[in-house]
Amino acid sequence: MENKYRQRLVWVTVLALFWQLTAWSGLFSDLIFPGLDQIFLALLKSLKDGTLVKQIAFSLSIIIQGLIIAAAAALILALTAYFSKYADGLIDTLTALAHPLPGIALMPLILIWFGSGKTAILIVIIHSVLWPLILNLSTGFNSIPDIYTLIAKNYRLNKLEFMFKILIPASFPYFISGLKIAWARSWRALISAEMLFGAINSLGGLGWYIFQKRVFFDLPGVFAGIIVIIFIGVTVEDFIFKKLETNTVRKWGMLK
Amino acid sequence: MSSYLELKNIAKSFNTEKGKKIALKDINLQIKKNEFLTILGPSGCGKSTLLKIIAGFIKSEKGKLLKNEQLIEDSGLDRIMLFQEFEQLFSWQTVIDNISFAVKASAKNKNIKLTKRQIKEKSLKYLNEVKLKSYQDYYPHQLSGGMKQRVALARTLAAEGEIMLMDEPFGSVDSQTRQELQQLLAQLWQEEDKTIIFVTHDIREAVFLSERIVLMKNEPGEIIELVDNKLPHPRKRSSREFNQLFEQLQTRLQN
Amino acid sequence: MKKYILIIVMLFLIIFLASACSIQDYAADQTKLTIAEQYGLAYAPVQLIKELSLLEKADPSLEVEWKQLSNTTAIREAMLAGEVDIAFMAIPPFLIARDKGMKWKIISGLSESPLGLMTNREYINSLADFKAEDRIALPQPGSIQHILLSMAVERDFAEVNKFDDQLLTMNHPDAMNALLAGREVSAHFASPPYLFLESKEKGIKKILSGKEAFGGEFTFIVGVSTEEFYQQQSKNYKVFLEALTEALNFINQQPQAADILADNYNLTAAEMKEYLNWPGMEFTSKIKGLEEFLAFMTAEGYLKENNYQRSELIFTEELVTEKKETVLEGAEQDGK
Repeated sequence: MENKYRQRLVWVTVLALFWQLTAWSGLFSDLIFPGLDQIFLALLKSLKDGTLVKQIAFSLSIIIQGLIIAAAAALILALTAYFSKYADGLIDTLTALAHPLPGIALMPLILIWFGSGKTAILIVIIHSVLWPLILNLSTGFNSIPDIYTLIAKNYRLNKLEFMFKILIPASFPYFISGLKIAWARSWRALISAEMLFGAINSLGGLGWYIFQKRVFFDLPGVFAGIIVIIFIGVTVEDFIFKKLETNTVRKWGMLK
Repeated sequence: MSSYLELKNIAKSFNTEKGKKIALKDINLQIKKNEFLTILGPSGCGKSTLLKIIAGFIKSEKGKLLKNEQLIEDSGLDRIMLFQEFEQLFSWQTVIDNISFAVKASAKNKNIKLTKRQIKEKSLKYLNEVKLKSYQDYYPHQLSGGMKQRVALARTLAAEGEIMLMDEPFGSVDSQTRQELQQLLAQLWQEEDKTIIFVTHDIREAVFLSERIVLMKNEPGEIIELVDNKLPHPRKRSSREFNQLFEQLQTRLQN
Repeated sequence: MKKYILIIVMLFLIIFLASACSIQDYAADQTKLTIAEQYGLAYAPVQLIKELSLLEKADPSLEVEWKQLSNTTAIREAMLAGEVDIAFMAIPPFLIARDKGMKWKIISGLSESPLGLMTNREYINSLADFKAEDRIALPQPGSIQHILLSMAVERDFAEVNKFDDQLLTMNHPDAMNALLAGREVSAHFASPPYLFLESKEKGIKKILSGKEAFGGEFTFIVGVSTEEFYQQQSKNYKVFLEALTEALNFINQQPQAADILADNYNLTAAEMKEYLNWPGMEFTSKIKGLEEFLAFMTAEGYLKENNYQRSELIFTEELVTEKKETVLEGAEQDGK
C-alpha cells in the first residue's frame, strides 16, 4: 500500500516536472500550455475568493443526492426483479434499452421535460448510475450460492429477513463494484451535464466552472478545475471506497 | 418404540439430457426418535435427494412424509440441515453472530422473546459445545475448514430442532480433522436428545457414528438393506467388531 | 532515479522532434487555407465565397478547407491549435481572447444584423417585467448576446448582474425549441435566421433589439486571423481579402445571391431574399462599435485596462474600408 503511494508520488512529480519544463521551453504558447505556476495561482485565486469551494460543494451535493436516489431505486428494482419473474422481464428489458444510452444523448429531452438546472443534472446522474447498479445488483443476487436460499427456507425467514440478512450482504461485493462504476459514471455525467446546464455567474458546479473558464479563455483556470476533479476522483476512489471495502467485503474475506 | 418419522413410497426423478433418470424409487423408511441413522451409499444413489425431501427443500413425486403421524409438506426449524459446503456460514457475520442467527430464528419460531443478553448467552453456550468459545469474534474466513464445520454444527444445534439432517458435513476436511469432528458429533448425540439423519458414502464414518445404517444402491436409487449397529460407545476404529461390520457393509455395497 | 531521468529526457526528445516536424509542415503549407465559420445568416458572404469558389478562382493552387464549428469557443481553440487560419465571430469573444494574449486581429467587418430578445410570455414587455423564475437563453457567457443584454441591463437598472442567475447557456436551435415549447425558457436572445423564424411565431414578441441594447449601430460579425498568418502568408491573406470584398459586393449588388444561397440555408429563394433584405441586415466591411464594446467590457471587468488602439485590434483598416466604402455605398443605393 505504502509502496503504491510512494510510486504514485514519484510519478506525479515526474509528470509535473515534465509539464513545467515543457511550459518553460516556450515550445507552445502559454495560452495553450500554461505552466504549473499559473495553474496553481489560478487554483489559489479561485479557492480564495470562494467560487471554487462553492462549485465543489454544489457538485458534490448533487452527486451524493443522485447516488443515494439511484442506489435506493436500483435496490428496490433489483429486489423486485429477483422476487418476481414478470418484473424481472420488464426491468431486464428497460435496463437493456437504457443502459447503453449515454446521459448526454438525453440532454435535449431532459431539457424539455425537466427544464435546466439542478433537476436536469440530477436526472442525468440518476440515469447514468441506475442501470449499471441494477445490472450489478441483479448479477449479485443471482449469483449467491443456492445453499443460502435453502438456509432461508430451513430457518423460515420471511422475504424481508431473507433480503436484509442474506441476499444483500451476500451480494455486497457486487454492490460495491456497482457503486464504483456508478461513481465513475456519475462523476463524468455530472461534469458534462454541468457544462451544458448552468446559469451564467451562478452556481453550476465544477463542470460549469470549467466551462466558464473556457469561454473566457482562461486556460490556467480550466486546468485548476481539472485538477480539482482529479483530486476528488482519487480521494473518493482511494479513501472512501477503500474504507468501505476494508470495513465490509475485505473484513468478511469476500475480496482478497 | 413407535415410528417417529415415516417415509412412505417416496420417489423422485430428474429430467436429464439422456431422458428421465430415476433418482429415488419407492423409498419406505421408519426412523425412531433420538436415533442416529446413517444413509450410506455410492454417489448418485439419491441419498442427498432423500435428505432434501426430508428437509422439505424438494417435493417427493409420490408418497408422503409423516412425523408423529402428521403429514409434513414444508421445511422447518424442526429439521435443520447441516451442509457440506463451508459457505453455509455467513461470511459477513462473526462466528457468534452466525450462531445468534439460529438462536433468533428458533426463538421467533417458538414465539419467545429473548433479550440481547439471552441471545448472546445461548449462542455462547452452543459455541462452547463445539469448543470454539474463544473464536466468537472471528469471521468465518479466518477459520480452518474443520472449525467452520464446527461453527456450522453449533448453528444447527442452536436452531434447537428435534431432527438434524447432515449431508456429508465432514466431506471437505482432511481425514484427521474429520475423525475429530466425528468424535465430537458422536459425543454430542449422546449428550443431547436429537434425531440425526446423516448422509455419507464413507463406510467407516457410518460405522463410527450411527445406530442404524440404511444401505442404498444407485440406478435407480433404492434401499437395499437396513443394518443395525450395536457397537458400544466409545467406538474404536481399530477394534475387530468395527472392522467386521465395515467389511460386511462393504461387501453388501459392492454387490 | 537514473531511470526516471532517462524517461524524462526521452519524453522531451519526442516532444521536440514532433513539434519541429509540425512547425516545418506549417511553414511549407502555404497552399492550404482553413476557414472557420458558424451557422447563421450573418455569415452569408462567407457562404458566397464558398459557393462561388472565389478563393479557388483567385488562386487555383490554393486548397481551401471550410470548417463549420458550433460555437465561438471551439473556433478560438482550433485557431490557437493552428488548425484554422481565418475565422468569423462577434466582437466580444474576439476581444476576450485578444485580451488574454491571443495574437490575432480583425481582418474586416462582415455584417451587421438585427438581434432581438424574444419572449413567449405575455406579461413581459420590457426587461423590467422579468420575474425571478423567468429564464433567458443565450449562447454562452461572454457572447455578444450576453454582452448586449448586460449593456441594456446596466442602462436600465444600473446593476449589470441583475439577470445573471436567470441566464441559460444554450445554442440557438435548442434555445428556439425551448422558447417555442414555452416552458423552461421565457426569452431567447436570438440572431437570424432564428430571430426571423421566432418573430413569425404567434405569441412570440421582441422586447429588446440589439441596437437598443447597444445604443446604436454595431458590427455583428467580423473576420479575424492570427498575426502569424498575416505575416507569414501575406499572399493568401490578400487573396482572401479580395474574395471577401467581392462577396460583399456580390451580395449587395446581385439579386441572384439569394438564389445561390437558398440551398445553403435550406430555404426557398423567396425566403432567402426576404431574410437578406430584412431591415437591419447589412453586409459591410465597416467595423462599427468596437470602441463601445471595449469600453463597456473593460468597465465590467471582462477585459483588463489595456487602452487598446484601433490599430492594435485591426490589421489594415484604411486599405480595406476606404477601398470598399465607395463600392458599398453605391451598392446600397442600388439595392434599396
